[in-house]
Amino acid sequence: MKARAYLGIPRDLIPWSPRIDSDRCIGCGECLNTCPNNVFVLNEAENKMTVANPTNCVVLCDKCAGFCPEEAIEFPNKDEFKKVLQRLLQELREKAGSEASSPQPK
Amino acid sequence: MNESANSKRKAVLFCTCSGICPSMTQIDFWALAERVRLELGDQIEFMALHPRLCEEDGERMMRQILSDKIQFITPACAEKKQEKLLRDGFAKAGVPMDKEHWIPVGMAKETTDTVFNRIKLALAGQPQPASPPAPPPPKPEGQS
Repeated sequence: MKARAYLGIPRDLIPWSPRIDSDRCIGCGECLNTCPNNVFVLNEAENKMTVANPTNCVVLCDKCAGFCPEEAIEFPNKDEFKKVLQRLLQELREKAGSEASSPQPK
Repeated sequence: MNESANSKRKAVLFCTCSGICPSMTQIDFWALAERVRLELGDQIEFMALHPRLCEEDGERMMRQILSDKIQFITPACAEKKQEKLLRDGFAKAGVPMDKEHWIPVGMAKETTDTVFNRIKLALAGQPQPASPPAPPPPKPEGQS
Protein backbone atom coordinates (compact mmCIF):
# COMPACT_ATOMS: atom_id res chain seq x y z
CA MET A 1 0.00 0.00 0.00
CA LYS A 2 1.24 3.51 -0.78
CA ALA A 3 2.44 5.35 2.32
CA ARG A 4 0.13 8.13 3.40
CA ALA A 5 1.39 11.65 3.11
CA TYR A 6 0.05 15.04 4.17
CA LEU A 7 0.94 17.84 1.74
CA GLY A 8 3.61 15.50 0.44
CA ILE A 9 5.15 14.92 3.88
CA PRO A 10 5.13 11.25 4.90
CA ARG A 11 2.62 10.94 7.72
CA ASP A 12 4.98 9.08 9.99
CA LEU A 13 7.33 12.09 9.99
CA ILE A 14 4.60 14.39 11.33
CA PRO A 15 4.41 14.42 15.12
CA TRP A 16 0.72 15.26 15.38
CA SER A 17 -1.32 13.02 17.67
CA PRO A 18 -3.26 13.24 20.92
CA ARG A 19 -1.89 12.69 24.39
CA ILE A 20 -4.14 11.38 27.11
CA ASP A 21 -3.83 12.46 30.71
CA SER A 22 -4.49 9.10 32.32
CA ASP A 23 -5.16 10.71 35.69
CA ARG A 24 -8.11 12.50 34.16
CA CYS A 25 -9.35 9.86 31.69
CA ILE A 26 -12.42 7.98 32.92
CA GLY A 27 -12.57 5.56 29.98
CA CYS A 28 -15.96 6.81 28.81
CA GLY A 29 -15.15 6.28 25.12
CA GLU A 30 -16.36 9.67 23.87
CA CYS A 31 -13.09 10.08 21.95
CA LEU A 32 -13.58 6.67 20.40
CA ASN A 33 -17.05 7.69 19.30
CA THR A 34 -15.78 10.92 17.76
CA CYS A 35 -12.74 9.67 15.88
CA PRO A 36 -13.37 7.35 12.92
CA ASN A 37 -9.78 6.19 12.63
CA ASN A 38 -9.06 3.80 15.48
CA VAL A 39 -6.60 6.23 17.00
CA PHE A 40 -7.88 5.31 20.46
CA VAL A 41 -8.49 1.99 22.13
CA LEU A 42 -9.79 1.22 25.56
CA ASN A 43 -7.38 -0.42 27.94
CA GLU A 44 -10.00 -2.56 29.59
CA ALA A 45 -7.79 -3.62 32.47
CA GLU A 46 -7.33 -0.04 33.62
CA ASN A 47 -10.50 1.45 32.09
CA LYS A 48 -8.44 4.15 30.43
CA MET A 49 -8.21 5.17 26.81
CA THR A 50 -4.85 4.78 25.14
CA VAL A 51 -3.48 6.14 21.87
CA ALA A 52 -2.87 2.97 19.89
CA ASN A 53 -2.45 4.35 16.38
CA PRO A 54 -1.08 7.88 16.57
CA THR A 55 -0.34 8.21 12.86
CA ASN A 56 -3.99 7.46 12.07
CA CYS A 57 -4.81 10.83 13.60
CA VAL A 58 -5.70 13.34 10.89
CA VAL A 59 -3.07 16.07 10.91
CA LEU A 60 -4.35 19.20 12.71
CA CYS A 61 -7.60 17.50 13.73
CA ASP A 62 -8.30 17.84 17.44
CA LYS A 63 -12.06 17.41 17.48
CA CYS A 64 -11.97 14.51 19.94
CA ALA A 65 -10.52 16.79 22.61
CA GLY A 66 -13.59 19.01 22.50
CA PHE A 67 -15.87 16.08 23.25
CA CYS A 68 -13.85 14.72 26.17
CA PRO A 69 -15.90 15.46 29.31
CA GLU A 70 -12.79 15.41 31.49
CA GLU A 71 -10.55 17.51 29.24
CA ALA A 72 -8.07 14.66 29.32
CA ILE A 73 -6.92 14.92 25.70
CA GLU A 74 -4.18 17.29 24.63
CA PHE A 75 -2.73 18.16 21.26
CA PRO A 76 0.22 20.29 20.21
CA ASN A 77 -0.60 23.97 19.83
CA LYS A 78 -2.06 24.37 16.33
CA ASP A 79 -0.38 27.65 15.47
CA GLU A 80 2.99 26.36 16.60
CA PHE A 81 2.41 23.14 14.74
CA LYS A 82 1.69 24.96 11.49
CA LYS A 83 5.23 26.33 11.76
CA VAL A 84 6.53 22.78 12.19
CA LEU A 85 4.67 21.78 9.03
CA GLN A 86 6.12 24.73 7.14
CA ARG A 87 9.61 23.66 8.21
CA LEU A 88 8.97 20.07 7.12
CA LEU A 89 7.61 21.30 3.80
CA GLN A 90 10.66 23.50 3.32
CA GLU A 91 12.95 20.56 4.01
CA LEU A 92 11.01 18.45 1.57
CA ARG A 93 11.30 21.11 -1.16
CA GLU A 94 15.02 21.57 -0.53
CA LYS A 95 15.55 17.83 -0.74
CA ALA A 96 13.57 17.65 -3.97
CA GLY A 97 15.51 20.62 -5.34
CA SER A 98 18.91 19.15 -4.54
CA GLU A 99 17.92 15.80 -6.04
CA ALA A 100 16.70 17.51 -9.20
CA SER A 101 19.92 19.55 -9.59
CA SER A 102 22.36 16.75 -8.79
CA PRO A 103 23.88 15.03 -11.86
CA GLN A 104 22.13 11.87 -12.89
CA PRO A 105 24.24 8.69 -13.02
CA LYS A 106 24.91 7.57 -16.57
CA MET B 1 -39.33 10.99 4.94
CA ASN B 2 -42.04 13.60 4.73
CA GLU B 3 -43.22 15.32 1.58
CA SER B 4 -41.69 18.63 2.55
CA ALA B 5 -38.22 17.09 2.72
CA ASN B 6 -38.62 15.28 -0.57
CA SER B 7 -39.77 18.40 -2.38
CA LYS B 8 -36.88 20.52 -1.17
CA ARG B 9 -34.08 21.33 -3.54
CA LYS B 10 -30.95 19.37 -2.73
CA ALA B 11 -27.26 20.14 -2.53
CA VAL B 12 -24.28 17.89 -1.92
CA LEU B 13 -21.63 19.02 0.51
CA PHE B 14 -18.61 16.73 0.65
CA CYS B 15 -16.15 16.70 3.53
CA THR B 16 -12.95 14.87 2.60
CA CYS B 17 -11.37 14.95 6.06
CA SER B 18 -8.06 16.43 4.79
CA GLY B 19 -7.92 13.95 1.90
CA ILE B 20 -5.73 11.50 3.81
CA CYS B 21 -8.13 10.23 6.44
CA PRO B 22 -7.31 6.54 6.97
CA SER B 23 -11.00 5.66 6.86
CA MET B 24 -11.40 7.12 3.34
CA THR B 25 -8.43 5.69 1.50
CA GLN B 26 -10.62 3.76 -0.94
CA ILE B 27 -12.32 6.87 -2.26
CA ASP B 28 -11.22 8.92 -5.26
CA PHE B 29 -12.90 12.19 -4.30
CA TRP B 30 -12.35 13.91 -7.63
CA ALA B 31 -13.74 10.97 -9.60
CA LEU B 32 -16.67 10.79 -7.21
CA ALA B 33 -17.48 14.49 -7.51
CA GLU B 34 -17.21 14.38 -11.30
CA ARG B 35 -19.46 11.31 -11.49
CA VAL B 36 -22.05 12.99 -9.27
CA ARG B 37 -21.90 16.03 -11.52
CA LEU B 38 -22.26 13.99 -14.71
CA GLU B 39 -24.87 11.48 -13.64
CA LEU B 40 -26.81 13.26 -10.92
CA GLY B 41 -26.10 16.90 -11.63
CA ASP B 42 -29.59 17.67 -12.88
CA GLN B 43 -31.00 16.64 -9.49
CA ILE B 44 -28.88 18.94 -7.38
CA GLU B 45 -28.82 22.66 -6.90
CA PHE B 46 -25.06 22.69 -6.37
CA MET B 47 -22.28 20.71 -4.82
CA ALA B 48 -19.19 21.69 -2.89
CA LEU B 49 -16.21 19.89 -1.51
CA HIS B 50 -14.32 21.02 1.57
CA PRO B 51 -11.37 19.33 3.26
CA ARG B 52 -12.66 19.91 6.80
CA LEU B 53 -16.21 21.01 7.36
CA CYS B 54 -15.82 20.41 11.08
CA GLU B 55 -13.11 23.06 11.46
CA GLU B 56 -13.75 26.75 11.85
CA ASP B 57 -13.19 27.56 8.17
CA GLY B 58 -15.54 24.75 7.15
CA GLU B 59 -18.17 26.08 9.52
CA ARG B 60 -17.75 29.55 8.03
CA MET B 61 -18.48 28.06 4.62
CA MET B 62 -21.52 26.25 6.00
CA ARG B 63 -22.76 29.53 7.45
CA GLN B 64 -22.53 31.04 3.97
CA ILE B 65 -24.23 28.29 1.99
CA LEU B 66 -26.62 26.37 4.25
CA SER B 67 -30.19 27.43 3.74
CA ASP B 68 -33.56 26.58 5.16
CA LYS B 69 -34.81 26.11 1.59
CA ILE B 70 -32.31 23.38 0.69
CA GLN B 71 -31.83 19.84 1.92
CA PHE B 72 -28.12 19.09 2.33
CA ILE B 73 -26.62 15.70 1.59
CA THR B 74 -23.28 15.46 3.38
CA PRO B 75 -20.96 12.67 2.25
CA ALA B 76 -18.42 12.69 5.09
CA CYS B 77 -17.37 10.49 8.00
CA ALA B 78 -19.74 7.96 9.58
CA GLU B 79 -23.27 9.27 10.09
CA LYS B 80 -23.10 9.15 13.89
CA LYS B 81 -19.86 11.08 13.85
CA GLN B 82 -21.30 13.69 11.52
CA GLU B 83 -24.00 14.35 14.09
CA LYS B 84 -21.29 15.57 16.43
CA LEU B 85 -18.81 17.09 14.02
CA LEU B 86 -21.19 19.06 11.80
CA ARG B 87 -23.47 20.18 14.60
CA ASP B 88 -21.73 23.52 15.09
CA GLY B 89 -21.75 24.28 11.37
CA PHE B 90 -25.51 23.80 11.14
CA ALA B 91 -26.01 25.78 14.32
CA LYS B 92 -23.92 28.70 13.06
CA ALA B 93 -25.92 28.69 9.84
CA GLY B 94 -29.18 28.70 11.80
CA VAL B 95 -30.39 25.62 9.94
CA PRO B 96 -31.89 22.74 11.92
CA MET B 97 -29.99 19.48 11.66
CA ASP B 98 -33.14 17.47 10.99
CA LYS B 99 -34.35 15.18 8.21
CA GLU B 100 -35.91 18.06 6.37
CA HIS B 101 -32.57 19.79 5.97
CA TRP B 102 -29.92 17.10 6.27
CA ILE B 103 -29.14 13.64 4.92
CA PRO B 104 -25.81 12.29 6.16
CA VAL B 105 -23.98 9.87 3.88
CA GLY B 106 -21.22 7.89 5.54
CA MET B 107 -18.02 7.51 3.53
CA ALA B 108 -15.91 5.86 6.24
CA LYS B 109 -14.47 2.54 5.05
CA GLU B 110 -16.46 2.78 1.80
CA THR B 111 -15.46 2.80 -1.86
CA THR B 112 -16.08 5.42 -4.52
CA ASP B 113 -18.86 3.32 -6.08
CA THR B 114 -20.60 2.64 -2.79
CA VAL B 115 -20.62 6.31 -1.85
CA PHE B 116 -21.92 7.27 -5.28
CA ASN B 117 -24.81 4.84 -4.87
CA ARG B 118 -25.55 6.22 -1.41
CA ILE B 119 -25.70 9.75 -2.75
CA LYS B 120 -28.02 8.53 -5.49
CA LEU B 121 -30.30 6.95 -2.88
CA ALA B 122 -30.25 10.13 -0.83
CA LEU B 123 -31.24 12.22 -3.84
CA ALA B 124 -34.10 9.82 -4.53
CA GLY B 125 -35.29 10.18 -0.94
CA GLN B 126 -34.56 6.52 -0.27
CA PRO B 127 -33.21 5.34 3.08
CA GLN B 128 -29.52 4.66 3.38
CA PRO B 129 -28.46 1.01 3.73
CA ALA B 130 -27.34 0.08 7.20
CA SER B 131 -23.61 0.26 7.63
CA PRO B 132 -21.94 -3.03 8.52
CA PRO B 133 -20.98 -3.26 12.19
CA ALA B 134 -17.59 -1.75 12.85
CA PRO B 135 -14.87 -4.30 13.53
CA PRO B 136 -13.63 -4.31 17.10
CA PRO B 137 -10.77 -1.88 17.59
CA PRO B 138 -7.32 -3.37 18.04
CA LYS B 139 -6.21 -4.02 21.57
CA PRO B 140 -3.25 -2.06 22.85
CA GLU B 141 -0.06 -3.98 23.37
CA GLY B 142 -0.05 -6.07 26.49
CA GLN B 143 -3.72 -7.03 26.29
CA SER B 144 -4.84 -10.36 24.96
